[in-house]
Amino acid sequence: MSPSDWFKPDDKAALTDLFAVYDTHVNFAEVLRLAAIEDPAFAEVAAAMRAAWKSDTTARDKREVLRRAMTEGEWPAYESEIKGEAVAYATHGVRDWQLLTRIVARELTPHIVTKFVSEPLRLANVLLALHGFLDRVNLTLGNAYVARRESMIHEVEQRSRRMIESASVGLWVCDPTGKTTFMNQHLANMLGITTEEGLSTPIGKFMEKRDRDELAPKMEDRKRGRGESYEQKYIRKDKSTGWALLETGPLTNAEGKFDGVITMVTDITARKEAEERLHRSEARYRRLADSGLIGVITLSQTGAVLDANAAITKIVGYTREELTNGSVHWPSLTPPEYNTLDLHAAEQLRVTSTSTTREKEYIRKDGTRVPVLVGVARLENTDEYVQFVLDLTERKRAEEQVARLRLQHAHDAKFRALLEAAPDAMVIVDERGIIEIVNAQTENLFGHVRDELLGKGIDMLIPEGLQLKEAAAAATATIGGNLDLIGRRKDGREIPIDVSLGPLQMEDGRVLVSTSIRDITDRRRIEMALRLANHELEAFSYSVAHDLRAPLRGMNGFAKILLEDYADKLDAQGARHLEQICANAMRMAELIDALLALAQVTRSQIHVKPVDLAVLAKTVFQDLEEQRLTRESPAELIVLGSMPLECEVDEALVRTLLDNLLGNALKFTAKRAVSKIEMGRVSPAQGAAFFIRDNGAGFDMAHAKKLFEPFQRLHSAREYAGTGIGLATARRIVERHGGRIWAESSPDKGATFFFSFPATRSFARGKTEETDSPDSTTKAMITTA
Amino acid sequence: MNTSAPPGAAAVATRALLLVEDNESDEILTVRAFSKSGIANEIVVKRDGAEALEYLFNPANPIPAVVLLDLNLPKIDGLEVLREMRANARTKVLPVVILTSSKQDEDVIRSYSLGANAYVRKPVDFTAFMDAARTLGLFWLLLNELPRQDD
Repeated sequence: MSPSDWFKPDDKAALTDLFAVYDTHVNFAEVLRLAAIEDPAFAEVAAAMRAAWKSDTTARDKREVLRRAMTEGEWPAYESEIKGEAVAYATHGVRDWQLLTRIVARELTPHIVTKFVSEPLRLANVLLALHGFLDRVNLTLGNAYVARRESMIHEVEQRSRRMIESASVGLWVCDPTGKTTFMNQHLANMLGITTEEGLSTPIGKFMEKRDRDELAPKMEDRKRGRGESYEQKYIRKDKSTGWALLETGPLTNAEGKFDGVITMVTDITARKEAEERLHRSEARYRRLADSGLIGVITLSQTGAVLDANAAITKIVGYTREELTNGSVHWPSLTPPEYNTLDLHAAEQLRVTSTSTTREKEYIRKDGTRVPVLVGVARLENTDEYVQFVLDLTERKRAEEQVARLRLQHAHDAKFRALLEAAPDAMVIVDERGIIEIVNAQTENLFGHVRDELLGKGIDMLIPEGLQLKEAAAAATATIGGNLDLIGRRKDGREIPIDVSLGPLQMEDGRVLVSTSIRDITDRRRIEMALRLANHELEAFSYSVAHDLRAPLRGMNGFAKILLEDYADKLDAQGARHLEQICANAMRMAELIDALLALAQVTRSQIHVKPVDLAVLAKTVFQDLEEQRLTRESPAELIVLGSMPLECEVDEALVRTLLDNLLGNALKFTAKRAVSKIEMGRVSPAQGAAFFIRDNGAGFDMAHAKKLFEPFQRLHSAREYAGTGIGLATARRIVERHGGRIWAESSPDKGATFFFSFPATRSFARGKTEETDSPDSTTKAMITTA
Repeated sequence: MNTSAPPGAAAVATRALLLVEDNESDEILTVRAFSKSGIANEIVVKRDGAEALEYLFNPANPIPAVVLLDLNLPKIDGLEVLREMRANARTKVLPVVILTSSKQDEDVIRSYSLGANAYVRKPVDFTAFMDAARTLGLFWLLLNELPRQDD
């Protein structure tokens, strides 16, 4: 009989419809091929089906309608139902052939089919489902197919039985009373029996009593359609035991009634043994935790301490109780600078359940820090973390020792020599202030020998006020320029010191801090003496101002009275003598005033601001002209160059300076036909100085040194009047600005006085170079002034 | 001079002038300067600060027209005398002319801030000193109007 003869003509249409769906979505023939590999019967059926619908052209429209219904209409609504059913189907078997067809059509991609085929139990279910499907086919097609169907079912059953028998999973089937109806070879092997023995022996024999008592209640559950999965100990025939994973579910017959229980048995003895080994290793870990070598602490996700061993308490200095009762917040024992590192570790922990070990510090109960090595792991399937902490104090100490030794030896002789040659005590420390290198001057200054200092904190020498971190951070600049601090010697004596700090980049990449310390005891003494002297000078000048003038006034006054009241009793000689007394008193008063002015220059505070010397000089010159008693010769002041003579100076003092210099110039040019005074600036190349030049009497350069000393005069008072204080005052004014004054002259050739203020003052507006092009620069300077 | 004084100044012109001066030479020169300038007012001289205050605060003594006060004085110095005068109702508004050798800036500033009415430096040159004394006398005794004092 040809396969195409199995079908009645009327049935052909229905069959075509059915298979049209399959053809739309998957190749059903392929499914059959996969499901019944090498089974010629299935292949024959498939080929016949294909031939049947392909030959029927009228079926095409119906097929299209169905296809649309399935792909575009109803299908999505079924989807979730089918997926859920697919799971149930995998466990318990599916008798709803319509559903199965949908699953086959939509869900059984070749991949899924392959997967199913590889799992014997599931394959069995597929076959059972096909069985039902074929039942349905049978109903549709009528008896013509029955004989063939019987043989097909037989084939299917044989095949599934073979697969079940050879499966690597135990399979046990019982009837509703619990009597074993089937046991595969694998399960029999597990239990150490033959399959025949399996059928004749109550399954409870292979269980512990406790589990045996559970059989009846479990059967009730199955009757209600509930499956379950659980682990259970089993007892072999030889009384040895093992562990099994049981996956069990109810079986139903063709009418859908409860027909027994099918149970898949997986031997998990090996896994259980592994767990046991793990448990033993946990016990070993526990012993390690208790050994005291390594700190072990169990933490909750929020950082609460759940458990801590003795070593932890030793490392951080808190008791176990303090740690676990919540009075200590564990995360806060970490210094803030490690927060970033900790966050990084936490992230790592979240992702991989462990963090790489890292070095950090904890703040102990006594406030000191302890260096530690820390590793953390999450306990599997919990929110607990176990942290291992190794105290690194000793190791760090050793490392530092080594580093220090290395440093001492590695540093080249040049650096050493340089250090030793330094005039100051040099102390080189690390960022925490631990002394690494000192020179001989340090030993001398503080009275400690080298070995007493190395490895100690610098606060041993300088108890307070050092900011080493900042110094180390400033990678290039010397900071903290000059710090006035107190140093402590070995004998306890405190000495005033001047400290400068600077970073010192080492070859190994570390940044140390070089501390240069100078004993300023002498400087302090001098400053003190100076203060005292200043104070005395103050008192002296006050007294000079008040008390020295009064007697002069007396001398002058009474001499004048004599001249007035006793004129008739005095001859010409006597009157001249009295006039000399008056003149001398006046001269002394002038000297006193000049001295006071000089003292004033020394004492007064300097307030700098931008001043145009040319403008100031013209004002002073005018005042001087007005005061000039003998104006027989004309005088002129010429300012050379187009530039303003700008500089930043104390205006009041510089006015006095110009008053002295221009006054001198006028005085010493008084005998010229014309007093010609020039003022200007020498080019920057020559030092950016200002000058005032006259065409007066001049002086011999041999005496130039005396010029700026108080009371030194190069001319007699008869020739040119003067106190001999003016140029001393001028020098003091220039020097108080940090500048310099000098003069060039030769007798009768006039004199030039040069004076300079430091560049920072004379060009403080950023105009460092003087250009000769007049306008632009000039304007800029005027607007900024 | 008195005779040519304006009528309204008569009361002032007759009042004494208090000179507080410890230096005998200066005292002699000052008194001479005033008399040579034709100022006929009585010149009361006190030789230290304590004496001066005692005289000023004694209700038995008439209030002078003006006080010529030196700064460098024995016992109580001039600035302290000035401070106490300004704190006392009797001498609160009495004109005080600081007449001293110094012209140190700090002395000038302190004097004015304590309520001095003028600050004059005694010139060393006697001629100049005479000029200064004459000007002072003319101004304070003749030109200047004083507030009324009823006590």
